[in-house]
Amino acid sequence: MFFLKENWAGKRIFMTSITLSTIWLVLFVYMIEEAVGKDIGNSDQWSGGRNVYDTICQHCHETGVGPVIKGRQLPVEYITHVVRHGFRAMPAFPEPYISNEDLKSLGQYIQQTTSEKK
Amino acid sequence: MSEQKYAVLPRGISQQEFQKAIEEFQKLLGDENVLTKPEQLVPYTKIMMPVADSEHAPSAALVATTVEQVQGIVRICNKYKIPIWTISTGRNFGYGSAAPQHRGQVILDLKRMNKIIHVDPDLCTALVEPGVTYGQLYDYLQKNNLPLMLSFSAPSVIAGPVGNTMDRGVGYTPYGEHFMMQCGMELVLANGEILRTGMGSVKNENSWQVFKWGYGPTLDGMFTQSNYGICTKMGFWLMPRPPVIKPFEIRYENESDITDIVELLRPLRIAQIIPNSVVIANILWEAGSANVRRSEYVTGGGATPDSVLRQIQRDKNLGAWNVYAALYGTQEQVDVNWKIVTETIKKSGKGKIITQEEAGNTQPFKYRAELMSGIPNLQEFGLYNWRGGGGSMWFAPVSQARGSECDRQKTLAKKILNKYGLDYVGEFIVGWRDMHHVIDVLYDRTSKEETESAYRCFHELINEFEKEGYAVYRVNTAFMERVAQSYGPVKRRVEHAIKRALDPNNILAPGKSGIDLDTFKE
Repeated sequence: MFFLKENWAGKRIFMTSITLSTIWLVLFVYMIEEAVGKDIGNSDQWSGGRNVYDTICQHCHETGVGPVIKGRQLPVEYITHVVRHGFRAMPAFPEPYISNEDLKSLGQYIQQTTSEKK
Repeated sequence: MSEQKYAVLPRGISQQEFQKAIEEFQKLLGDENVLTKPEQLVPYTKIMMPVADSEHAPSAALVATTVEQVQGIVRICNKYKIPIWTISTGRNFGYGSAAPQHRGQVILDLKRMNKIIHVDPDLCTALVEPGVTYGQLYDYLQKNNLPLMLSFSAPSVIAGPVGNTMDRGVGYTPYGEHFMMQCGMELVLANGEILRTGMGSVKNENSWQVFKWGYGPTLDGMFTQSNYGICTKMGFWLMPRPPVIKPFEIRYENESDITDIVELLRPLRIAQIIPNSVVIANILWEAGSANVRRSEYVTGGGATPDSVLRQIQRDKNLGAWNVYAALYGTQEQVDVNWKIVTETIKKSGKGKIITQEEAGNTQPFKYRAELMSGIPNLQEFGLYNWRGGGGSMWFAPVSQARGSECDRQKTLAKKILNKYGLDYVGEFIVGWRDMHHVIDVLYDRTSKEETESAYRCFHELINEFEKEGYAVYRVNTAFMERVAQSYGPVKRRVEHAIKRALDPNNILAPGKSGIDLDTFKE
């Protein structure tokens, strides 16, 4: 790099390239941070009852492990009771896992589903 | 305020003292994060063990969302001598679920501390909080198209890596020994200090998740299955997702084949020809996971006769033993190892190989293939329907990876279970040189008689296995004290000396693994 010391044109190009490199580096780091998910935040806010059902319930209730619960017009109160108390092998889910609001939304979603012939 | 406001209290704490502590917890966390109403606490009392729910009823539950809050909680606990039982996702089914070790402990629920803090796709590492589930992490990897793979236990969708690893759980991929893949913990100690293990305590470090040992004594292990600290962050290694994963099954016809199976597999496993935690599941584990109910074949209680087991085998096209393994790598690597595996099996003259192409979407192959490929599901909960009634305890003795030893353990376990009218529902998870012999003691918890039998049976399993030099690696909360005795007095004295030094007020999960300053007798 010594030859650049008295070479102003070269220095300008060098500095410009440094600046661009810095911008790219910042952008690159930002993109990497986005990609690797630094501090992506928590996900305890389910996006509605359907999201809870798709993320948790369906893994048992659409695979023959648990009974089908969609399309049976099950009351919201019944769903709420079973989720909080569990039932035989079905585990119970406390409030920090599924909030009261999300549970209500889940109950409404399940109640309103129609029967799905498979 | 009523004199009897709280139906359940911590051991040795009065209503008045507890009320004062609750008020301080509310000030710290907000009223909505201090759960004391019966309807709020009932989910924490759902257990699968053959003891009364009331024996494991909590007095309250605290919901923390930050490390600072956890520090504040231990400060209040020290002030009032309140014991807390920490849970991450509370999905430790068959080991105590979310319920505390003994009646009156306050639950510290960390489910809402659920940040995925860091995933590094180059170094293949992750750093997460306790409330993160495997399902959440899987979705994150998928959404961000990261070429990484998780290893998890069967309740993968709803359970999480911190809780599973802290209890030294296992999975089914080449990274299946989860504690071996753990790298760096953050712990809140009983005095409120924060300890970061490994490289984590070095100022400005960036190697916490890549080098496990740090300097001086390596401390991570003593915080697992113990009550010396509260884990608030954990690092672990992720497997790069290989271009090819080839799951397969080897089906064996006879119960007595277990000896030959283990002798056949051990060299392949130790040499890493088969790199994953292979599973050898018996007929009833297979049948249950495939949603077969006992009531389809037998009415009334008692052990299921061998003739019925053979009938299920024929009807459902299952083996007496069913080996699940997978090969990983490039196509060339997999081809080479597949040739070695198939030739070894052919030479043995036993065992029928089933490939993924042949199995299609049939269960239990499908869920097994998913578990070995890092895809979460809950299919194994089908086991609980075998007898129904919601009773389950894992009896999990460690065995050498030697055929004669596995056969000996299987025979002893089946004899004791059948004596109490219960079935042998077992699998061997092949470590490198050991076997986690995992037996699901399934019983109908709605039947008083069967529940009492299950309790006595579990005691006898521990006693009789102990006589033969075997002990379990993990156990449910009702039997923790008994199992601690199997490991001898010196180990117990050391464990309690550490407890006295780190937690003199005995506030962190007393009773965990039999460590309890209030009840331990020298």
